[in-house]
Amino acid sequence: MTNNNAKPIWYEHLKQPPLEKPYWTEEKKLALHNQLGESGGRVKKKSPLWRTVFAASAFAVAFVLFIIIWPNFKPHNLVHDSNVTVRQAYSSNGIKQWEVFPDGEARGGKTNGAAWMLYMPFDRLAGHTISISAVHLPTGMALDELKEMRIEVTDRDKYTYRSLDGETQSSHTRIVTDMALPLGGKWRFTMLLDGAFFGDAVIELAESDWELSSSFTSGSYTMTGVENKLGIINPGFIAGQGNKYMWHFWGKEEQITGKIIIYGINQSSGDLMELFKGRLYPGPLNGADASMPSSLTLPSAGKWKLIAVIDNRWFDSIVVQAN
Amino acid sequence: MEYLKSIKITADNVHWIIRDLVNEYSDDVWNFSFLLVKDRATADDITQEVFLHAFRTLHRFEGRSSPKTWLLAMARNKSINWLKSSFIKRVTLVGLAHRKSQHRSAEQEAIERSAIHTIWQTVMKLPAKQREVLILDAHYEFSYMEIAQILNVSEGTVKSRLHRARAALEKMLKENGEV
Repeated sequence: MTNNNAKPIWYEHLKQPPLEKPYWTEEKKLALHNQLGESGGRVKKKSPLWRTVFAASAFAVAFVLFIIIWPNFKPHNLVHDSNVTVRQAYSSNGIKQWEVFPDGEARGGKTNGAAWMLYMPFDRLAGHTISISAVHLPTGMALDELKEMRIEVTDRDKYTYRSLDGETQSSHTRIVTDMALPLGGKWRFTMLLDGAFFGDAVIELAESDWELSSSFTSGSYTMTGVENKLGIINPGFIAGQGNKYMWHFWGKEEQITGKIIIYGINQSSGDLMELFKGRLYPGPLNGADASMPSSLTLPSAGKWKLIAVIDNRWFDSIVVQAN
Repeated sequence: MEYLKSIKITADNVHWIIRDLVNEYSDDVWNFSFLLVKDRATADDITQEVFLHAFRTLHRFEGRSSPKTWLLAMARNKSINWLKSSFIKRVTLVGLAHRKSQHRSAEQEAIERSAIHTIWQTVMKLPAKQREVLILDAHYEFSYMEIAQILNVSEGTVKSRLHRARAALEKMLKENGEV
C-alpha cells in the first residue's frame, strides 16, 4: 500500500487526525443515518441563496438523470413483495450451506427462538464474524436479528453439541438467536460472514396479537403497555392530533441504551410509519429503568400498534385505539 | 467493507450498505474535506452530500475501486467545486466579504487554530494541489495508483506533485523552526 521511497520524519505526525477533538461527531453521523433512512436523499436544511440555486440546478440535473436511470434502479421502492416463497435453507453451488429452524409455531410479537444450522465444522467458522439482518417484506422494516459478532475459538461448546450417541457433531455448527420480531408475515433474513453475503432465507411468522394493551400502575402513574417492560402514560390518542407521551422502559442497561425508533402500524391499512426517533439512556423514573418523552401523532383512527425498536432490535409493542 | 466486491446491490440491501459506509468512512471523508476547504461547517455539508450522493449512485459502484477511494474522490470533487464557487463569491462580493472576515478574524481564528495540530496548520498553508496529494499520501497512506484514481491524474503527476509538496512543507517547517 505505502509508497516506497524514504519518507520525511514529519510524516509520522500527519497520521494523526487534523483536529484534536472530532468535530464530525456521533450525533452528526446519527443525523446523517436518519436523513439517509428517512428521505433517501433529500437534503433538509436552511441554505443561503446561492446554495439553494446550486441545489436547484443540481436537482434539475439529477432529475433528468433520474428519468434516464429510473427503469434500471428504484432505490426507494423497497421490494414489498409478499409473493416471495418461504425458504428455510440456503444453498450455493448445489450444496446446502445453512438452514434456519424457528422454534415451534413462530409468530410476530414474541420471542420465538431460532436455531441456525451451518453445515460446516466449527473450526472453519472460529475466528470469523457473523451477522444476520431481518427485513419485513410487507413493510420494509429492517432490524438486526444478530448483530455482528465474532465466533470465538474458546466458545466451541456454545456452538457445537453432542448427539445422542455422545459423539460431537463435528460437521455442523449451531447458532441460536431470539427471532423476536414485532410483526407477522414474511421476513427475509440475510446472513453475512466476515461482512460478505452468505445467503438468505424467508420465514413466515404468524400474525402478532392485536388485543389492546392493558393498564398497570408504576410509581404514582397508571400506564398502558406491558408491565415490567414497556409503558406509556396515556392521555388517549385522537387521530390527526399530536400529543405528548412519556415512555417507560424496564430492562438491563444494554437493552435500554441507544438509538430508538417508535414505529406505528395501523391494523386495517397495514401501513407502517416512523412516528418518532431519538436516543435512549438509562435513568430511573416512575419505577422504570429508563424513560423518554415523545410527541406522537397518529394520522388515522383505528387500532394502532406502537413498536419500540432500540438499537435496531425490537423491544416491545403497545396496541392503542385512536379515535 | 470487502463484501462490497462480492455483493449485488439491490433495493433491499442498499440501506444497510450505506449505513456501513457511513460508519466506516465518514470520518475519513470529513477530515479530507475539512483539510481541503478549511471550514468545518462546509466539511459537514460536503460529508452529508457525499453520502447522499453515494446512496443514489451505489448501484453503479462496481467494486473497481475501493469504497474508500470512491468516496474520497467524491469528497474531493465536491470540495474543489466549493472552493471554486466560494472563490467566485469572494471575488464578486469582495467588499462585503472583506469586512466580515476582518471582523471575525482576531478572536475566532485564535479559537479555531488552537484546536488544530500545528503540523496540520502548516499543511493547510500549502496550495490545494499540493495539499491534497500530501494528505492522501501521508495521512491516508494510499498507493500512487489509488491517489491517481482519486485525483484523476496520472501516477507520474502524483509523484511530481508529491515531490513538490514535500519540499514546500519541509521549507515552511524549517522557517518555523519546527524541523
